[in-house]
Amino acid sequence: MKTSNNESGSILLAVLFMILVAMAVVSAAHLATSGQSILTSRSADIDALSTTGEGLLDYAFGKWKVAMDNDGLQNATATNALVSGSNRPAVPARMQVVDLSINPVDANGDISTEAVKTYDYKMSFVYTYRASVTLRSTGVGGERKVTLRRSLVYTSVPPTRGMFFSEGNFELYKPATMVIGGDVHTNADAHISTGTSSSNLTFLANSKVTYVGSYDNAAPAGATNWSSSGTNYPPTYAAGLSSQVKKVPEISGIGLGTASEYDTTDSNPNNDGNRELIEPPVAGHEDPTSIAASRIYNNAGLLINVSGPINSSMPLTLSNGAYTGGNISIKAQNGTSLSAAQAATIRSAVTNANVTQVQTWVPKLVQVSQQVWVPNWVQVSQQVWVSSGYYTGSGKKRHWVDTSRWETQTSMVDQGSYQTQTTTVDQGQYVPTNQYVQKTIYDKRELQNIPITDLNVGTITPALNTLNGFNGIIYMDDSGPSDQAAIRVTNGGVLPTDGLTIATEGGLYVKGDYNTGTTTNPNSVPSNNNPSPNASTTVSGYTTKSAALVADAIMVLSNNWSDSNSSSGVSSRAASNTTLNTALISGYLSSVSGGSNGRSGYSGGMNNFPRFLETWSGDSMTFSGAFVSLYQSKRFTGAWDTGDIYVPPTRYWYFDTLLLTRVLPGIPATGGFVRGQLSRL
Amino acid sequence: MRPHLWSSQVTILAAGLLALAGPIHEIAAQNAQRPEIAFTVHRLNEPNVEGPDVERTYFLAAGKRIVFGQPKDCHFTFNDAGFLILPTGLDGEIQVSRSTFTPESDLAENALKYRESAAKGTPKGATQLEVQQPVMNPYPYNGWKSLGFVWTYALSGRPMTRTVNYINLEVGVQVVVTTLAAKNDAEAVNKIARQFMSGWWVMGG
Repeated sequence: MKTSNNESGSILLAVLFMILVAMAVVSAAHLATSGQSILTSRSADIDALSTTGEGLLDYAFGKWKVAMDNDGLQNATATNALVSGSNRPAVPARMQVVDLSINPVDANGDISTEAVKTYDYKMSFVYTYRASVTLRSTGVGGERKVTLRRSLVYTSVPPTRGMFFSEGNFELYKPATMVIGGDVHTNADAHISTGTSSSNLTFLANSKVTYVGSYDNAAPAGATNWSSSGTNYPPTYAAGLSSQVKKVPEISGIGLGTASEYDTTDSNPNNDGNRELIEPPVAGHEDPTSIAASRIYNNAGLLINVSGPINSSMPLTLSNGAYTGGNISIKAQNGTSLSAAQAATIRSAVTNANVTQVQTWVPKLVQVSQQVWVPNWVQVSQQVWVSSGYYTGSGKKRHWVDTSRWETQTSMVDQGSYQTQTTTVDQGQYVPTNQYVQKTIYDKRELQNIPITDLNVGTITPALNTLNGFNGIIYMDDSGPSDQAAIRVTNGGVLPTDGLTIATEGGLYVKGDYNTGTTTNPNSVPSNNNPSPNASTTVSGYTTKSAALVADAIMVLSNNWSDSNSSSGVSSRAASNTTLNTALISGYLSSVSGGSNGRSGYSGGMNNFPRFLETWSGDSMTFSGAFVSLYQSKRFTGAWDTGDIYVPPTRYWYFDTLLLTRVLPGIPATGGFVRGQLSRL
Repeated sequence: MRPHLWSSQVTILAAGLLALAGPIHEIAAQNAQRPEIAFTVHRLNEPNVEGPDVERTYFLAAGKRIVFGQPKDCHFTFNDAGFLILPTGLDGEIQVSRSTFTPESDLAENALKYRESAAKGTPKGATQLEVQQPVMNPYPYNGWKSLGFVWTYALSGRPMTRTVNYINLEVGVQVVVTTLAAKNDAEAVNKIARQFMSGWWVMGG
């Protein structure tokens, strides 16, 4: 076929065009493939940088946590030293750490040179730090850089921010009917069951149960010795178990830096655990700074020591900063100023002496003479005729042959005699005398007469309200010879305006209403007059004051308690409706597998945390506050489970929501470390 | 009556049970009007204060049920006349029995009479016999009044400690707690005796 020139030119142009298009496509494909390669390399590098960065932030968290735990709050210089220089960990060779830092931040998130205390919405003090890391690497297409940040949060939680805080196991085993309306936390295991039906033990929807170890409905150690009949029913959770029961990290210590100082294996008695909170430091041994900072003894505004029956007629003299006289010493510290007149007023509120008839043995050694037979055995020889003989022969010839004769015989004869002997005999007698002695009450749980010192809060409160610089903390102890001495808080209806914490190393009895607004008429408190779930726990117009009672063990005595009945049978110790508005911080007993003398070994559970000694049948014990169990009781360790100690009250126990926003005088916080959210810039 | 055994591992000390049997005749001869004490052990289940049933062990005195618990790590036997407790691993024993006296015989005023009675149990052949001053209220539980005596002596060369304690219970009867132990174990044995007695309580009291 023949073509024209014009046609040939068009074909050439078309071919050229196609070649150009093909080249463009190839070029575009080349360019696209090359970019994807670069992007893939970059993404992988950034992932590697991010992974390494997260590891560095975890490293920073660990260093920060240990430093905080050991040395308390850290400033920016200290925290940055944790992750700089030789403290900075190595990274892969192709990476470079541009920056790794830890800095305190304020409430707005701005970096600060010092730690800044902030607050979460209502629960606790919060110290926030920011760990930041920038990493760089190079690769195809240039440099890659990643910056990551993570918040490091120390949350300082007063243990009174829930219904029950327990360092040991949290146990409830077949208690009388209970309704719990508040958070429960244990740093150990939770064993929670009821013996009648699930409805007998209810956690209201606002009650969260958090535990560190394990959770179950099994019987605690020794509990089946007490009662093995029936079934263990799980409790009722109003909002469901899955939403109310959680496993959480440990909340430990009695203040920042305390837990890491604890060591029960060394010889230092000042670092043995949370109980240091109520103990004075033992002189001659190191008192670790963080623990010393948490001791109520060190933090108290007033130290009151009794050493025997108080004699108020003795003068008070000021010596070494303390007013002392008549077996009592009152010392102001931590900015509290105390005059002699104020000291005398305070002493008048502290009583512990009785005149008691005491039987004293008065020996009377007398010489007693008595006739005592003193034997004298002698050998005596004597001639004795011995008859003998025999027959011989037979028939008429039979006759007797007599062979009798004298023989010499020897025998022993007592030739003793009575002699007069003198011995010394005590023929003394008991002589009754009236003596000034320390008052005691019989504690049916401890099975002991407990030397007791009363602190009349109604008497002391006006004085405390006028005491310059007083911080609301009284530490009181009895250094007398008894290990089981106790303080008793009486007449505590109205507390000082700024609140009151009373702490002691021994036992603490609280008699009658506390922080209810009246010292004279318990029935004017609605929860006493008409106990019910919604009854007010104060008289009209009274706002509860910040209040805490802190001791080795806390015993609740009703408004009707009488010392004279303390050793009588339980039916003679009749209680009456009583209301307490306070935090109770006290010791616990661990359950053991077997007790002695018929005791089960079971601790008695949370329901016996405040210890009762009366028959509360038909009576109520209304409580609004928080129970805090931080340490084991060392001095008051009697078992709870005879039938002669108490009959339980109707327990109206509530968490006082005012404690969510209140800081109780002298009560340190337990703490927890949290890794906050990770952000990538 | 036939002694009950509270443990399969119980061993009976003949001497101890014979000693327990002794006071019965004295009581019968001295005062037939005395409130009866029968140490025979009974059991019952009663509702515990928190709700569930728990088992109680008790004996009867003056018509009241005296609840007690078995000491841990001890062999425990009883008959009508008293209890015998043999602490495991210790060289000693504890007897609880009726008293030949009554609470009306004031402990302080009649201390010498009580001592004279208590001294009768000192074994013949004891040497280096020493009696300490009386102790007022060695068992200070439940509002009880008590009076105690302590003898130390050597028996066949072994140093021994014997205590005799008269206790007025709140139900109006008097019991005697006697401990006999090698001197080295005396403190531990006496501690067990005090713990055992401290746990007594009157049901419905």
